[in-house]
Amino acid sequence: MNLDELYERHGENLYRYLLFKLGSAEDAEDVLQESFCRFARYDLRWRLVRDPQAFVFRIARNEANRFLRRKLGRRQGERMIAAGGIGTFAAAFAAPEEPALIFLLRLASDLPAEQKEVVYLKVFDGLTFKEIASVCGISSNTAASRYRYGIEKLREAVEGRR
Amino acid sequence: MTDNGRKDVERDVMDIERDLERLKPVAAPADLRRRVLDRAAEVRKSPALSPRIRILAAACSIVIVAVLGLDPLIGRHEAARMAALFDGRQTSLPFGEVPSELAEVLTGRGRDAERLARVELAAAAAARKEQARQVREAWRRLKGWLDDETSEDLI
Repeated sequence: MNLDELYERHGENLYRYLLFKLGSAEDAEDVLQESFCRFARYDLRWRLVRDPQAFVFRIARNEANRFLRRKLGRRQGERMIAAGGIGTFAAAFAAPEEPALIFLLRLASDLPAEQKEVVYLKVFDGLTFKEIASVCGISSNTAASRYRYGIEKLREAVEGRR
Repeated sequence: MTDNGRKDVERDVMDIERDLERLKPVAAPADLRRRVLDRAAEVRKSPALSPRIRILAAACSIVIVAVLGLDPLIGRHEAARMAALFDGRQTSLPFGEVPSELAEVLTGRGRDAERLARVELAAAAAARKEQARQVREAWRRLKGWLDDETSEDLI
């Protein structure tokens, strides 16, 4: 497994996903480094991986959870993980100038954590529901319904504004 | 909902997705790639286990394999001893069934030395059972712990 190629394919997306999960550039960089160290140690395991995209996101997610436990202490870390991490769209995207996009970004940030993560992975990283399911440790049906509810909420809010 | 209504909703949903895609992601720092890859290359160079730990791990594996290999042999030996104590009589229950052995001992059949030996065997069998139960329990817990890292097997 070539690490350069891996970074080329997933590095930036993972960095943004970690920014979204952790809300801080510094933390996201640290966790991205840790994730790549893990990939480097997984020489043998790579041969068994069927879907590298889902695998790298899963590892990054696990690494982010470990980081939160280390940083906040076990109890508070677990609470934060259960709440979906910092989970903010604002950290992963540049502030838009268009009012409609500012409004949408705020709405997206207000979604429940589990819907927010699924919407993020689907829209911005193009993961399939099956891949999202293996990243988040849920079933494909749950991933699909979380996505549907999330987008529906956004649609209703945008509709209500018009 | 009518077909037209459903189409409107679907169009709105697609609009939302399109709008979300218009958000501009923040760029990663310029030197992040180099830092990440340098660190990963360092990790790759250094072996996960130091030579001393590797020797220790190998020794532990040999001990575990030896224990696992010897366990059935010891069991067979004890079964043979048990059969000898029963003077060739077959017990109605399979080897290791403590209650029947205890019952037989408590009903007072056999000589004193024989009875004592049976009590000892029954105690050993009970201890082995408890040990096996503890191993199973530990394994069950360990399985739960490993779940955290093995879900990528599903991928």
